[in-house]
Amino acid sequence: MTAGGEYLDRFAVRRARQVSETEESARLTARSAALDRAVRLARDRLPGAESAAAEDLLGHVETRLATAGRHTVVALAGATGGGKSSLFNVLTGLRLADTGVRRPTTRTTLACAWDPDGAAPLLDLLGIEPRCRVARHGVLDAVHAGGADVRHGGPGARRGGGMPAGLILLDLPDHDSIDLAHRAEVDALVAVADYIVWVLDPQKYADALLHDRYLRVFRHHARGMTVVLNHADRLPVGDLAACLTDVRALLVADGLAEVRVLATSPETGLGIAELRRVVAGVSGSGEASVARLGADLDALVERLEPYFAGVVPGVEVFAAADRDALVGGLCDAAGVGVVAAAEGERVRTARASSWRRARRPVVRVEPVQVHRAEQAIRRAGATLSRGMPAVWVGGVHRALAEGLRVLPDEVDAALVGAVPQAPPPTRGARVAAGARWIGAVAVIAGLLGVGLAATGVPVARWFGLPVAAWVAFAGLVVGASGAWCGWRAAVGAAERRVVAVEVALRARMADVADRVVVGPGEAEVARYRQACAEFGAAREGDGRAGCHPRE
Amino acid sequence: MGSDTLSAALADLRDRVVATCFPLDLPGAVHARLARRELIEQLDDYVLPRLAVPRAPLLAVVGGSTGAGRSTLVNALVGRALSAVGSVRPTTRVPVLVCRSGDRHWFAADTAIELRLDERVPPGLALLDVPDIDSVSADNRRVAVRLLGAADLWVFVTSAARYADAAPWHLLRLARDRNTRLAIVLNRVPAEPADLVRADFVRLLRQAGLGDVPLYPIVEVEPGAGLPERNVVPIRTWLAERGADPDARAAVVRRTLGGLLHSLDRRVPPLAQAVERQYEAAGRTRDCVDRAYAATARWALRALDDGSLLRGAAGGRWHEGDADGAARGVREGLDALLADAFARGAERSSGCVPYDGAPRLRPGPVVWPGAGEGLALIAAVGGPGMEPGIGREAAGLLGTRIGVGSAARLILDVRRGLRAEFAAALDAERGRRVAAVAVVPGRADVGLIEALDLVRRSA
Repeated sequence: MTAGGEYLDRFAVRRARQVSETEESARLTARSAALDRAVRLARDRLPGAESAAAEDLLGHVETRLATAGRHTVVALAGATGGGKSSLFNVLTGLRLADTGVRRPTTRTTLACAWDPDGAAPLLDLLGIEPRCRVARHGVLDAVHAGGADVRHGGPGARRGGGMPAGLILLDLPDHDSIDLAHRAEVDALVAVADYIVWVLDPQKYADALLHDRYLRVFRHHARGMTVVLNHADRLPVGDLAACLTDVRALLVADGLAEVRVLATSPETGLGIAELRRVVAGVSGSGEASVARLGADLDALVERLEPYFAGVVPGVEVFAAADRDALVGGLCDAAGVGVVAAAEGERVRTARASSWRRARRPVVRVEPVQVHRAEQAIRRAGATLSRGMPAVWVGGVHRALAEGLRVLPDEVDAALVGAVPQAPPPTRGARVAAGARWIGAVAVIAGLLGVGLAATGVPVARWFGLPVAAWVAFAGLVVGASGAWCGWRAAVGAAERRVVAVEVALRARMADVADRVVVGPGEAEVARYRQACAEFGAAREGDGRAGCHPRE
Repeated sequence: MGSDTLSAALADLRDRVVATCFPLDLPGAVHARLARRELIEQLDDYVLPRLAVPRAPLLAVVGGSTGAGRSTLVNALVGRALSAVGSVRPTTRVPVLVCRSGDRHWFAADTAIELRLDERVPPGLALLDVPDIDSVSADNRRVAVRLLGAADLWVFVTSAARYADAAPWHLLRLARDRNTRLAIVLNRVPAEPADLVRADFVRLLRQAGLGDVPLYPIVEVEPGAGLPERNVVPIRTWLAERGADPDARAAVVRRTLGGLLHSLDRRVPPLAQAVERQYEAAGRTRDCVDRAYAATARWALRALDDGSLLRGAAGGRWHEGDADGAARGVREGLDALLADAFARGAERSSGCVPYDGAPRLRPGPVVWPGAGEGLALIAAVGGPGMEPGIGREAAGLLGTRIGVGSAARLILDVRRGLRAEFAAALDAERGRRVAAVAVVPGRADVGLIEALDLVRRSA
């Protein structure tokens, strides 16, 4: 049962448009679609902040996959004074970025695109100003700039290619200077870049701001980043190894044990060739954007985990025993047992004493006792939502609250006239009644005859006693056995009547319970189960269920 | 300053600040807790001891960012390698105090601080090399900020790479606000565009209102080598001037101490306001819970009167002539009503501030009044609503048994008893929830502003 089936699977639309798709990006699309469905199912139950974060990310995934899939955005990020701009100049082979001693130096992001065809929408998405965009054509080795003054050369620079087309290299501002606008720009760009090169330096590599606010937060993105220790030439020769070890230890503490760490220096050329290889490799494969989005999905899945974790009930949501308990509770509230017992009593007295003409009227059903009914429903709600996360328990309660409201009227309407007609007396009962009459008549006749004999009228005698006496005796026996059989029949009829009334009323009550309580509750649980399944598919990417089944 | 009265007034203020607490997580509570701790630490670490021993040497704390070169500077000032230096950061983890052997007796032994003796410390001073203010080590940051709060003067060390970092500027502005005596060392300045860097830093200092603070640039040297002594002569001279004679020292103390006392005017009233807000919030929460349970009690008492308890099994049994069975049904209904009332109370009050402790949704078993007199119970709950017949019938039956007058009195007693039972049970539950809201003293109880006034008058 899907709730909200009216939504459009936006990722299906994208799949239809895409001509070819790699396996990784197909997996990403499938995961995003599953997460989208899970979040939609959980709408109105998730807190607003989580819903908004999920919506933002899924929208971003869709946008990024549709924008310039061939291009890869590599960002140089780090603290002020770390040497990002020097590295940028060396990697691009140009001296575009300002490298000075006054801090902070870089004030807006500078972007260099090796093959700018089709890169414009991506640069717009990143929010790079047109005057900060530079194009670097690999083949022709000509340089075009959007009005900026460009100088060639620079130590260690390489003219021409070396970098695949499709690479967009960004020189970001800092994240720790007194100019807080820089920090905001960095935050926006590291959220969307496909690959990040974190530029550290010997003075600042252990700053709390870098690790607490950035590196630790990116612990899912270990494969999407490289850490370089820049200005390595400024360290005393023997200390470089110790520093690198320390950097690695700090990264392990941040949860980034598998990240590559390089020592670089733009002045002496140390490590530059290797950094160039890393960057070229990242953008050459063309998979970096998909990998980054996959890591973002991992982070979101971790964030939403508490709302989809928990116990998922099996196929039979509401066990038969629980349902019986609910119906039993509602029947107690309506006094069904009392009605059945009263009906049985009425039938018994009616059958047992057939000369009592004044029959008691049929027992009617009382209106339901509201508070006991509420207790039964609350208990059922607790059973249904056992083991579910708190937000879903709330959903179950809301679903049942409506039922609570209409229950008294529903029950009263259902039970009116629900008492079935009493069946006519059985043949055996009629025979027993006949026997009682015959016996009574015989006893009276016999007694009259005995009375006559006692007054001296000659009567026939049998074994010394008047025949009338024998008749009376026989009448007594027949009458007594008739009475006894009649009594047994009446008791049996009463028991059957009790059961029949109770069954009939319980059936009506079960109907009401299903419609008003169990139906909405099970619908909510089914929704939860489906949301869990979608969430599990989003987490693993292979359809494995996310929650574990209830025993 | 009449220092005895001032000390007493400050000690009183300190005790009152210690007595404040901010248990509720209101906006600004985290800030208030930090401010409280800072204030207590400063009063304990600096203000009260300084007033008690005015002739002790000045404590010059050398603080700054990780990697700026504090320990290298201290080693150069003293002339030998006292503090460990290195490339692995953060380097300094344990504060190092250097003083003259003649001044040793002023400083109590502290396991957390290393004490070194050296005669080359400028007279009248002690140097304290503290850990950094911004590395990943949270301990370092805490210790550094605390010790800077205990200083007579600051030697703040930054570098050409770090002079525009946000973290140290927060502390510099703090020093400006408190008028703390301060000198800034701009370390590791590159040899060539040395003046560019210095000029830019001066520009930033002027913008922040610190234009008159002495600034000592030191040129970058070979990595690994120590600072040559001649590079630190200007800062050494400055330090020597501060500590040279008793008058100079007294001037520094007056300035720093005065600045701190002045800052109390700015720091104590917000703390008092935060106390007030906590008190009000606690009061509002208690009111919210009270209102929730009052509404629930009203609902329950209405349900007692509207005859709903005579529906279902109870009514059925009565119509069969089973008065005892009917009374039993009424008792079961009362149990259900009480449980329902508890659940409703919990739901209504869950919108107030969250509380500790599991909600008790099931009330304990209650023996309902009229257990012996079923008829009185039935009559007592037979309201004018749905089942006028049953209640009146029961009352009539009771009247024929024990007399009309006593029947009426009995029914009234039972009714009163039921209402009292419900009210008491719900009130007990309300009390449990309210008790879970922390008790916060009000502004009047803490008396921060009065204590501050006393300090002002004694200063």
